[in-house]
Amino acid sequence: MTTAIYGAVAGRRPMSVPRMSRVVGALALLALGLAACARVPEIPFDRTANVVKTIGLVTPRFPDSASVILASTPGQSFGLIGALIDGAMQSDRDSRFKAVLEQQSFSAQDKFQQAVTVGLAARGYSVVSVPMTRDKADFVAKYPTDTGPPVDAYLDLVTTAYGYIAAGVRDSTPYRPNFVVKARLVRATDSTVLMQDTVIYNPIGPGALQGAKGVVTVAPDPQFQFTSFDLLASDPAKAAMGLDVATVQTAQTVCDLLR
Amino acid sequence: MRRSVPVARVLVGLVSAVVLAGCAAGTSGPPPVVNLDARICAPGADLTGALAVPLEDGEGILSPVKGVTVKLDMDAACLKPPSGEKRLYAVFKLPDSTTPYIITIASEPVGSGLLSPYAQMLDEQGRVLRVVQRDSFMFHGAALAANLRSHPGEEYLLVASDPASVGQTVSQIQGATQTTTSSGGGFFFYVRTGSETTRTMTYAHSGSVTVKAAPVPKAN
Repeated sequence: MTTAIYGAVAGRRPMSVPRMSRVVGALALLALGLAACARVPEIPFDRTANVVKTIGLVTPRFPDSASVILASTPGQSFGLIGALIDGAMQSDRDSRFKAVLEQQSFSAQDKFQQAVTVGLAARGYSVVSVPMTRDKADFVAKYPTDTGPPVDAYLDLVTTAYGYIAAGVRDSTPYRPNFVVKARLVRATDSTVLMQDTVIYNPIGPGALQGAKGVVTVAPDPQFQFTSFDLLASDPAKAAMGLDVATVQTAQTVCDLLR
Repeated sequence: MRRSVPVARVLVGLVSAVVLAGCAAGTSGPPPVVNLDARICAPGADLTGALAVPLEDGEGILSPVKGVTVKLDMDAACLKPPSGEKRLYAVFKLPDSTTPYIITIASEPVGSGLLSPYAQMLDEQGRVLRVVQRDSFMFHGAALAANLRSHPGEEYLLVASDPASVGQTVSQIQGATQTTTSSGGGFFFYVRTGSETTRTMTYAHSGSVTVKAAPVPKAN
């Protein structure tokens, strides 16, 4: 398997500058995925002790694009060279998956925001959309003091990774949807953190589920699995539907934290 | 250099043994208790044997919050409320603290069983002040856990099984990565591989419950 993969890569022409930049971008995405492991301390929401009726939903932060990650590859045993090869392969997967989602007119950002809005309303909250941009992949540093309709608290959501992930290269470790989000509810009047948590749909990592302390996890839906990336890319409708399910279930789990 | 090869083989063997032992540990254990027909249960909870939960610092990796763990098996205390079904339970004495803290209740799998949890916060006389419903417990890996902020006047925590969901099963796909060490030509190198399993658990009256108490983390 290793020979086949690296033989294929080695047979390509030398990397162009744009391609190299995509590789670097892919490596950065991988780093972001690993950074997702840096969870935030869990702080539970106490609905009985806080009068929160209207929530300002800050525009959720999303990575530039979805990622299709192999959590373990032969390249990881070969230092920087292996990392560069892995990065090139992931960059290729990511760009092809982006085309898949565009073909299906699927926007994870729109779906997630919509699902959170619906989920909060179902739990008795009024929701006000608070458009905001942020400079980095983290919670907002300062929340607005005057929104159009007044809000009691801001819900700040930072998606650190979404797309598909496989634990390894074998058929027994297929690609499945993945979604990682950090959530924080902040009181509008004094910026006190009322709730904070991390939700991971389909966590994969060293001892993933056994060691998932301090993170709310959602097991993946078994019907959405692809033994290879080529199979995933060849069924755009199912691939997009799998990510749709992951997005909605993650949003619902975030809303459950505010019951 | 020659002597390093056997050492390497021993190391690889040890690593493999540890990995295999870890895999086996996840599914061994007594069968889950899903039927309490044979049990004679009290109408109310007995608070006299409550286990004290310390308020732990929990800061830094050298002092993680450990909490208090109780195994609930067929011989555990049993409760049958006047208008309810039989359930196994354990009672914990909460810390005396003037500042708010966070209580974590975690139900860990035992063999193929997972205690389906339900909890009540009780006052000094055992009166119910707050109920933590079954759906408040969310998966944290293979464990079902809930975090709560402490309230004044809540002296005891009762953790019991939820009869309505006992007997149901849940399946979880678990992906994981492992790093193993190999050697060749006098060199050591690391090989990272992935694996996936499906774990099916039965919600049960029995299981393992851990209760922790720790200060509210600083978030700002």
